[in-house]
Amino acid sequence: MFFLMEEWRGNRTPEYWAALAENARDRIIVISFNGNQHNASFLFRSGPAFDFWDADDRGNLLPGADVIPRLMVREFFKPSLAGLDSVVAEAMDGGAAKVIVLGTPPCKGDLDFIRKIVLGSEYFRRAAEKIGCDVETVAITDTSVRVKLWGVLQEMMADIAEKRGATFVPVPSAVLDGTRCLKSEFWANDVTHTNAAYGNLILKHLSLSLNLDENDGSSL
Amino acid sequence: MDHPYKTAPSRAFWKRAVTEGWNLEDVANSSAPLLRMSDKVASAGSCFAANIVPYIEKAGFSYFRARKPVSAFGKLNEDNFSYSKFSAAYGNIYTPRQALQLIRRVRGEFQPREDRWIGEGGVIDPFRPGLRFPAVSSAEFDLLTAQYLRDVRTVLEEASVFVFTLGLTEAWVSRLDGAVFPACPGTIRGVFDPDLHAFHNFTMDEVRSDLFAFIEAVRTFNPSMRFILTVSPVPLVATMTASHVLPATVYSKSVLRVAAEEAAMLLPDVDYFPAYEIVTGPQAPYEFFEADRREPSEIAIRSVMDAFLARCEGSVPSVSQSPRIAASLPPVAPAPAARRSELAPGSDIDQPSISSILADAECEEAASGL
Repeated sequence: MFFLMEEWRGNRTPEYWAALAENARDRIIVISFNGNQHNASFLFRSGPAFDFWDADDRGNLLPGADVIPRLMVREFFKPSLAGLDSVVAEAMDGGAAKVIVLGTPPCKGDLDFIRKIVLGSEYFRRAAEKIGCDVETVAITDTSVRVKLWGVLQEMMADIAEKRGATFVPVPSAVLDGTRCLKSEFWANDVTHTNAAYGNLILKHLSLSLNLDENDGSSL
Repeated sequence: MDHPYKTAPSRAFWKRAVTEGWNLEDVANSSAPLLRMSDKVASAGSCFAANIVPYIEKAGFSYFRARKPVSAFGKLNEDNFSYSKFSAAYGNIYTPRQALQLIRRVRGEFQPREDRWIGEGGVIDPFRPGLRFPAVSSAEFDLLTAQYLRDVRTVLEEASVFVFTLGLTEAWVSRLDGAVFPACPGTIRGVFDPDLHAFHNFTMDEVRSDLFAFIEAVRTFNPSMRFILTVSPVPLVATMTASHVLPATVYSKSVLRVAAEEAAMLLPDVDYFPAYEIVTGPQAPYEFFEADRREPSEIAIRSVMDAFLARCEGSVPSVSQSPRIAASLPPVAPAPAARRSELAPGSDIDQPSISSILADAECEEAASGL
């Protein structure tokens, strides 16, 4: 098992992705790409609440929320995933035995936890003040909407994988709670990240998905 | 010899009112202000009705929008077919019949049988075919359409003045139930089917009847709604009649003009504003149309709005009194659709959002092992 990012110790420049392609031959390439866009753009709510249709929610939207088209959400995220398309293509062209696009970590659903972290960060408080935002009162986007935003990202990554002949491996259901949020046992102590237990579980999940010996994974 | 013209005002005489003493602000008939500062102004109609909105807002009047764009999505809220420009996302409504049917849909009295086109691009609304983001399923289509019709109802209930610009008499209708499409199926979206879709050029009687019924139907929601009717000066892009497009245009505009005049004469609180005459009359300079002789120029729109605003409460002296002067003026940039003060905090996409600041901060901490 070879973690390019750990070896690289730098930014994901074009050279980084070129190195991935160079190391791809006969290997199973697992790509975990971006995945935090739902937080980076929508963790906090600016303006009225919005919601959008999702096959799983059977039309139960936030009361009073502006309903926006699902395709508008996809269009919003499209630029952030443009790079994934070319990265998958490069890995395939590099002679990879298989290319896997890995689903990205789900949302944290505990608004009290999020609020506590936000209020506890002096750096964030100062940065927010600079753009005229009061962290004491800033609204957090409803969990159900953040879950759907995350779901759109997973859907788009799956679409890119399918288009390029790669395989999308979604996060295992074992990390999800009843609201499709990340179980608290997999949280890092911040708003967006997961912990080592999550990482270990994902590695096992990948091995199972690929029918590999989880203690070996030499071709991964 | 004495006769009635002896006491007629100067504006009644072509020589005094046009040839020698053209005064843009004197063209409209209205004793009361067309708009008051306390008004909530709604508009619908052809694209000309969308063009006037920035000028109304820049003059300090309140243009009523049932729904503001979700600021987090920034420029994705914009579109090419004026849906985001009107009080609700109906886009261009060219004929009184189309407007009347929309009100009947809001009232639950009419449900078009051909109410969606399902294709590769998603589920298309035949009555808003240019929407930038179609629904991905019929269930989503129903949600979005229901919200849209609620928005139209809100406009009808809460606006105090409705500016309606009549655009066309020619239309394509469903053979199933007469539902009027804003564009011929197959042009913007959809597939043209001669068994389902028919051409219709509305007659004088139909347009008058539809316009009167439309005003009456709106007033079932809001009995005190005042109307300002205009006729779009934009010629037909094409005709489906056997006529040349020029006489076809003149027929269309003439019918609409007569219907508007009769509504203003016969119905209470209905004014006609002569935007059409200002742009197309013989006094209008060549520069009032772009080179294609179809698209009104920015100067023309500005002149119309000068004349319009001169008849509104708190009017200020116009700088476009003469079309010759107007023609030499540089175009003004329309006011933005929403003023900065109306935008929600964090909606300025040129600066990092509060969400991105947090995400970046946490990524840096994670990368540094903190």
